[in-house]
Amino acid sequence: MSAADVDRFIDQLYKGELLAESEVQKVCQLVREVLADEPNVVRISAPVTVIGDVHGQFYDLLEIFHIGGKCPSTNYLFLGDYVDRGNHSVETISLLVCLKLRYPRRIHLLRGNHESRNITKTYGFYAECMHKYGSAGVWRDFTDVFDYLALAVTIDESIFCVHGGLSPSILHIDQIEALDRFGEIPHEGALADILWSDPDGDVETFGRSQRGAGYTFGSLVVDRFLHINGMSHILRAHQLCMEGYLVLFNDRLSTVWSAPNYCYRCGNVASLLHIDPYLKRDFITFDAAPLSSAKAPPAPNAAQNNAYFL
Amino acid sequence: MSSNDRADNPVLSDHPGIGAARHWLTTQAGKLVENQNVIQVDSEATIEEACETLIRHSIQSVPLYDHRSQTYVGMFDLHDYASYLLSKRATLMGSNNTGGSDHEGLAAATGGTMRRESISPLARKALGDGARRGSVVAVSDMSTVNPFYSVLPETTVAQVAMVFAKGAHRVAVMENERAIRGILSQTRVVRYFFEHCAVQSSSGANNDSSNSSNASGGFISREEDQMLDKTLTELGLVTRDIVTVRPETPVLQALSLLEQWRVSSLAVVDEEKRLVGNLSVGDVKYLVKDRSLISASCRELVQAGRFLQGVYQGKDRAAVFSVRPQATLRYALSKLVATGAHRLWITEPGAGEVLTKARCGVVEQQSSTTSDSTNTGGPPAAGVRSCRRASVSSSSSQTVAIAPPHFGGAFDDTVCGVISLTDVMQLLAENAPKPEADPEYNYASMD
Repeated sequence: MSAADVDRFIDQLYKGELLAESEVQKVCQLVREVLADEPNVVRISAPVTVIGDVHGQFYDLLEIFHIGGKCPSTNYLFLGDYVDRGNHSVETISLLVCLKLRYPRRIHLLRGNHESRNITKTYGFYAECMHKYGSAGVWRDFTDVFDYLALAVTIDESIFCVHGGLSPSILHIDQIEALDRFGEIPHEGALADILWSDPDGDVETFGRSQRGAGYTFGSLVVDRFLHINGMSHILRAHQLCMEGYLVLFNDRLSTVWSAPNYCYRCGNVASLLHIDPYLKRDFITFDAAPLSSAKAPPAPNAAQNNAYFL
Repeated sequence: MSSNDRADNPVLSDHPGIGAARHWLTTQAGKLVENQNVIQVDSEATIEEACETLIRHSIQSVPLYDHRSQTYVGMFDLHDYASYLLSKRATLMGSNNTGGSDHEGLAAATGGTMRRESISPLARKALGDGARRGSVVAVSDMSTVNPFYSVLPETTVAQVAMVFAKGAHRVAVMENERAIRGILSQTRVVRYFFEHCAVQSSSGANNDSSNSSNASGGFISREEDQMLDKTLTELGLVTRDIVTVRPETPVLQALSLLEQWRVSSLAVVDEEKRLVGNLSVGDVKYLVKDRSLISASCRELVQAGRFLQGVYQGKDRAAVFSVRPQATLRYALSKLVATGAHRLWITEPGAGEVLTKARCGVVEQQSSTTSDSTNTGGPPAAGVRSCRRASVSSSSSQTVAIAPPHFGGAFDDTVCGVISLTDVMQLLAENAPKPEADPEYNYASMD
């Protein structure tokens, strides 16, 4: 498969057209090889634009590229949760995976708690794959890719980025490096924690999470983590923010949320976070794209699947 | 007599006598519902309105108030609604109520055998009334057959616990016969017990000093303390006697199973018997939001429920809440309280069945560590190496008690038991101090 082929896929996907099942399979196979070479904690440099949960809201993803600039002219870091809940998880993850394959150093994709087989079976991605492709092959291909996604990123050795938050089992970033990430997200343990935990202003250290996975963590834990690792800030996603973002603990931690009008009904605003070469942080908020809640392109029935095979 | 004197000696002696610290069970019910915002529904409301109230406030049942008589006439509970749905479906599908065809209609509707007697009396009553009134059935038709458990604010938690141990999920704490001070649920009582008696600080001792405002009830007996450290297996909860459904099972069949076995939830398992989800009677309220779900599968109903839950709370939850048989009661309680769930499934590793790519995480040791080898029973499948895990404590020793990783369930576990709030109440009732020990413990019946 050549770069020109992938460019063709990307153009197609920008228009909201699905790839053929065989194309998805090939792309996923190749992107796994790219991802397998990445460490658990990828080190990147600013400037970069950081994006929180997208959750299958494809037209809002296009809005993000419209506001932030297209990849590769803008560097992007996505914090996970690409699928589930929205109606276009397949288009969303297809586009992001193709962009990663084409421009591996310009776009980074972290794993979120939704990049998981059992979560996607309950929250909509599996059902959408069955609906759009008539079989589970595409779901299997993408969930296999999820097993390879990196867990965290550091920006210029100063900003630590992860989908959920901190873990009582992780003091030092090296401990994240030591995890074996190539598999399904466990129910418990360090890997589960960093994808599921939430900050909590009412807790000083760690508390049990209402979500049934991960922990809640407070300011003492954040300060200690930043101090031990020589970092200045933690960026994460994972929690809905009505204003699109939330800054906590005296500007030591931020939540970025990039799915406006979440589930097409929450009425929230979303944001993208631009980090300039001097590590200055700038939140840009945006509303849902007009097309986002409009009728989706009609999903094909099984008989029409052939239209997607070139 | 101040309980603060006892703050550093929380475990009650075997023979308390006069001047002993007050046991947590002597706390009055009224204290546990202080400042509660009581939600209620008019008895003339429709079922749809009542379910909407349940969804909006994330509650399981609601008292019904009759403004004409200015009294409470019952509680609307989703078990009742489930029966009602089953019966209504049966009447629609069956023919005009001769005994034989009713039976067939029900069997057809539920896809399984269902005896006529298992329709609850209230559902039959509701069907009858509904037919007279037309299609809108008022909520009060559905619940007047159920007892409305009520207690006074002075009733002790001990007495309420006895009721809970028998399976009631909540009681109404009445200010007087016309006003409810609050609804006291199993969830509230278990949380009270946990926060005052079971929470451990990193030093391992029972820590009550942070709860000085509620110190009057925060003490625990030696038996109860020992019980908290027993495993779920030792407590006899791994019964392997679980009612399950598949993701494709029709919703109506699931509802009839709930009725038939008198359980509040079903384990959803896949073809390899792995636990993939949970369908509880609480999910029934989503059937009101979307009528078409009644002909859907369990998977679709659970999905719809989670969709709405996530929208209201902005936070998604783990697909299943589970715990291993070797977990302690203390750990199971902490998870129940944190998640607000009414039960945790007890699960164990599937026999030799692991996805080829799955590997366990290995955490390198940092400062002082203990290491556990997680041989969680069952031979590991070929090609999967067994895991070692280390728990890391921080330099400042302010670490939450990290659960060893083998306490929580894994994604390919099979279900072998359940621990529900009723089970917890039964354990607490069985291990409560005996009445002879102290006249304060009043186990007289509520009547």
